[in-house]
Amino acid sequence: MPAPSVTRNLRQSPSSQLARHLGYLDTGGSTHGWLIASYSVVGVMAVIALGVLEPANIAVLFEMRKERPNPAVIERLMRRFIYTAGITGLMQVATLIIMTRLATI
Amino acid sequence: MATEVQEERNGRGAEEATAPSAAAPPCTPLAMVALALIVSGGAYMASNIPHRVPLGPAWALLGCAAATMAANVLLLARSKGFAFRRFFTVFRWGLLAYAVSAGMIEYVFVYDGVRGATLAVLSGMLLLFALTVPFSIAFTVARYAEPNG
Repeated sequence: MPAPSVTRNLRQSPSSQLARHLGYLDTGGSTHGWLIASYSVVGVMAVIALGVLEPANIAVLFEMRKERPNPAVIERLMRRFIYTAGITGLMQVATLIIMTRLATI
Repeated sequence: MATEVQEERNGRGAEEATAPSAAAPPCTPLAMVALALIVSGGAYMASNIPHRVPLGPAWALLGCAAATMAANVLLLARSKGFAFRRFFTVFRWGLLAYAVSAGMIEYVFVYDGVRGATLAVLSGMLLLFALTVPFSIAFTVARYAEPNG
């Protein structure tokens, strides 16, 4: 069964194993929609972290290694962190809501 | 006066302290779209378990992600004055790191008994994942490097 592998790919293996054990992954269950929402939250956070923040981090390190680092380049790259902070915050709120719903259903 | 002193400390004039406005192709947004499609494919497959997963949408998402990355590579290849040497240096090391990561996930797939078309889709997604992230990192680094750097 591909269940553990697929969810591990979404960086949430321990929680998915627990969800499978508790029956939350049953597609007919009342919690299934909330589980899908949690996958979406993880997906958004993964895209932001791997597609925006990690490249910016490494580019800043390369810029700082230069003999004369350009502060404007560093500022421009670090601006990405400000832009994504709001989305990351929203995802954390969504995580809290999903966890609360799953615990009270 | 204070500004001049600050500039002198920085070793550059005010005209130098600006970010290069190189007209680079939109590789970062395209890479993000590809990554989002890959992650969506993974979430789609996870949302259907433990039942049999209809693979049509997963193949479609994988195809769209592959097409997006192919367009990305084409756009970058056609751009002039780009620091390709720096790009490939960073890309190689990034690829090494993400190949190890993707290899470990692939091992888990096989270990958990994933076979056939499902394994093929997941392997394709992993392959694209292992290419997209290093591409994005290398592009971001090389964009601000000297063209011959």
